[in-house]
Amino acid sequence: MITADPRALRLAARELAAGGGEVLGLAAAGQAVLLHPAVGFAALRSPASAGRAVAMAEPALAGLVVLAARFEALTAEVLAQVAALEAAEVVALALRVADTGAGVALELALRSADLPIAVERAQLDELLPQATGVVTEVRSPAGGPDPSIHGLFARLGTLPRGEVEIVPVLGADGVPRYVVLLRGIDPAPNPTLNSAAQAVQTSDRRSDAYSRSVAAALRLAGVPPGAELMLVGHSQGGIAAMNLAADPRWHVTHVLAAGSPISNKRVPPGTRVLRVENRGDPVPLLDGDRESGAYVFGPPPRLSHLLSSHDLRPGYLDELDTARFAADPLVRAFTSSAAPYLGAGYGAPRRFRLDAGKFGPPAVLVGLSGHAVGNDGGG
Amino acid sequence: MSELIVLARRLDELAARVREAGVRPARRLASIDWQCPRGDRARAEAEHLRRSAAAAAGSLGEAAGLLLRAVR
Repeated sequence: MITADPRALRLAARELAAGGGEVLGLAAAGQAVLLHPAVGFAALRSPASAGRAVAMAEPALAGLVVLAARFEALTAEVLAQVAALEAAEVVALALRVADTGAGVALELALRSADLPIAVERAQLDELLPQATGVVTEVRSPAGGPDPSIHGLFARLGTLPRGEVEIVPVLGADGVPRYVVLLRGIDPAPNPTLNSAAQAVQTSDRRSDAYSRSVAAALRLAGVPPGAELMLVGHSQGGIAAMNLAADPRWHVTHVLAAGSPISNKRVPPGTRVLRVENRGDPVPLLDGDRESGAYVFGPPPRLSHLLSSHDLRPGYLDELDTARFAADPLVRAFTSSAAPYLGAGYGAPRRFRLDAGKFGPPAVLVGLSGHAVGNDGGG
Repeated sequence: MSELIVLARRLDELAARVREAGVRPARRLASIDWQCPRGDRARAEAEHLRRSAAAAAGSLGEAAGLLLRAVR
């Protein structure tokens, strides 16, 4: 999937083309300086200074000609992307907003045909205005999750819609670590950030109300900057996890994502990601790609099982408890690297409810215990 | 001699403009929400351009300094 605003790219292409021309002009102006008779005389008279100056400037100016050619190549690359976007099927966005089974199926067909999907930012914002997240601490259950991949996802499956759980890890090495559980959407219309409309924003933006509200919940929970985080997400939760992992303000060392379309998200250096995909689940394909490097299991999709294959139970949890899953090389490598999170005990968890709050720009404090999270446009 | 000073200053001014010309594409592409491998490649190339321009600007600036030294 391609997500970009063609107008912004066109503007960038114009600037790049102008930049290439400017660099060539500067190279010519520099040559004119070096060829000036006064410089030639000075070079003969003072080889240690003026002579060295000429010897130093000549290759730099030659390099500028090469640089101008690279500007041109980059301009062509950006223009190629603009052309692809202009030829794209913009209808996909409307289909997703309609959020019907037929719409999702048609969008899947478009994506599997490898057609770029143009998402016009202005159109997206008009159809799906960004929510102002409202974060409120809620009562947490007494015990923590079982410290295993299956245990964490099983716990995630018990989270009510809109809620996120932050679990401190009690490690012997004294390093502050937390596991954060991020659930996916509830397809029924609801006032939380786990809605279908919000999931489109989570997927198409690097930062949206959901991921920003999770960040706010981390701050409210007193998670210190620099603490090591393992984010565990299902569906929209996995996408939000990748958004947070790309945010340099947080130190996300591990992401566990099940049933999440995240091939359009960048994996930052220093973050290990384990993607788990049920072949029968259509949601991971919404980014138009079966993840390479993912743990993929199960039979091919069947129309009658499409929705249940996406649910944690029965779509994922049983598989995560099998010997086959535990023995898979990808899973073993991840588990070994995530040992500080998976082998340790957990402290008292804290839960926060993330509501959509108001739609539109102004961020306001809502309620006595609710903390509004600003809509900064994300991007 | 004054002519050489003018030429050295001209070279120094060119160096500053080369540096600025290299910064603009990286800044512009970083500001665009362009999520795909092609976008990643373009941003990386713009960063290379910025570094190359900065290196060339550094050499030209140093050359300008040497020309001024020849005057003194």
